[in-house]
Amino acid sequence: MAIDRDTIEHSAHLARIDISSWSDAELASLTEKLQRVVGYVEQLSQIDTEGVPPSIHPVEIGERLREDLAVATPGRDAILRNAPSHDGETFLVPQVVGGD
Amino acid sequence: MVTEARGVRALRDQIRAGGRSASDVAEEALERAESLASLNIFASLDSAQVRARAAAADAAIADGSAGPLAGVPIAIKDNICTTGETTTCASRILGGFESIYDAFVVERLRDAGAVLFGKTNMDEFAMGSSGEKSALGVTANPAAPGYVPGGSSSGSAAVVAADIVPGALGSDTGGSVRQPAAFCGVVGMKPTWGRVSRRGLIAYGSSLDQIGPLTHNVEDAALLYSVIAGHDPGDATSARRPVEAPLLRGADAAVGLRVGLPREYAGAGVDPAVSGALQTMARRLEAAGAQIVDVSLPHTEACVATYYIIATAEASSNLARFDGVRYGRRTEHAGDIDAIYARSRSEGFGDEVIRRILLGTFVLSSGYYDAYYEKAQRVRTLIRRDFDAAFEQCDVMLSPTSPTPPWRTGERGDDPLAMYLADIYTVSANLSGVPAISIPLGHSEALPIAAQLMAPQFAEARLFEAAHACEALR
Repeated sequence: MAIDRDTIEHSAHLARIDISSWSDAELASLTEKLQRVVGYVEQLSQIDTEGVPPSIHPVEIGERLREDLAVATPGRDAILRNAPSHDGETFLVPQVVGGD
Repeated sequence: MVTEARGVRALRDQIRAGGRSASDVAEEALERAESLASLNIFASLDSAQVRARAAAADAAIADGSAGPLAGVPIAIKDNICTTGETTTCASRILGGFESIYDAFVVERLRDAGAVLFGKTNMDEFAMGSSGEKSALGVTANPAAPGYVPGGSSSGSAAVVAADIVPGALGSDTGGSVRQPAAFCGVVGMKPTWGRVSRRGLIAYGSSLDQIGPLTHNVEDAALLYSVIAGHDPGDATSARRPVEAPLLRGADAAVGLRVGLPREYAGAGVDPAVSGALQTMARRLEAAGAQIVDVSLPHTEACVATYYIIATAEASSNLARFDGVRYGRRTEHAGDIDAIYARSRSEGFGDEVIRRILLGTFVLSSGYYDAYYEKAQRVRTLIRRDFDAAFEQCDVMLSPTSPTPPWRTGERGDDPLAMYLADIYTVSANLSGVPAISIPLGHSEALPIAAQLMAPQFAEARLFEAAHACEALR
């Protein structure tokens, strides 16, 4: 799998990382580094995993249910304290739907 | 032995016996931290809070309610949440962030009477093997000036090595406790996945992450482990098994112990000083009554590739929460919501974090998921089976922690692959979930070298006992 600029731009879009201000040289360097890593990890394709189930976790933990109990949580004021923008009740962001 | 005079237990006993007050200990540690500020060990250190906690510990000792760590200063990696001070993961995107709850391990430390002593520097979001990938700058290696301290728990290893505090907590996703411990000449231990609650640990790779202790010696690591291990209903992956106390008895534990030497771990890339020290340790274990067993982990070569697919995939998902809306940094250069997300993230994350998010996004993206991510999960099953088979033939496995001693700061610069390959002997314990510990073996040309022991899942007691034997025999 060749990693090219389109792959990088597509992944950056999916990951919501703005790379529009990166210079061609920076993008080329990133592409080259990721290409080397992807080239390295492709060795896994040589391993026969026919019939081998995937591991989601390293330890079998089974299904976990807890009792449905009400517990105290830190509360809205505490949660909003770390928000870059809020009005005391909600997180604030620019208008998302509608508008001019 | 010098380690006894400065360890967690030694200090605890001294304070408890009235030899020193917790406040005196804290004051000395603050002075030492100040005089060693150039090592860049701390992400933050609030001396007023340290003094208040030490005074509270002294009060608890006076009224007889002191816990098992009363008055002992313990430093915490900056990706473990603590109320009342910042938790930043050494990242710009979390600059100034104050958690609204304590991590489970921090609750446990506070309950045990420990004096929380600052937040330690680290590779940003725990992504790095050298301590160089921090938005706060590199931490110096107190045991080897001019060399990297290892990573990602760089500050937690250095703070112990520099004798500022006798113990620290780090997090280990692919070796991030054990490798810096090896590079700084201290003990570092990663528990079985699920043994220590991850509630309040800012996630990197959730199926790999574990919190573990860094200390001067094995006994202290076991003591800190005993405080933080155990079930937490607040972490759905936390194990419900009882935590067994190890019976530390030095070299006696070697009698009848089957010590596996994975033949694939004696590869060509191992520094001769490291392999020589390991062979010496194996001979001493054998002389003390252990049986040395040749074991095989056939998928060793695939471990680093498997690890970097799974870790980055999980990271790309976990780090999606840093969006400039609910906490953390928001860009000042965006008009609409999409631009807020994308600009806040590109301005807030460092290069290595961006690389890993992009790689993780790629391996999870439509058209590539099966070939990369799911393939890696299947290989992970094979790696787990390798460990199951090997542990039928031995009780513990002995290997290098790192193939080499620490390298010079800047030497591996910006070559991610070279950096990733340094993790070759540590990532397998995270992939298979088994507990592992790194213990110092000595020095090669003044650079610390170390051995790693691994044990079956939930056999931490056996792991500590075997490590204690190695410590006695080195």
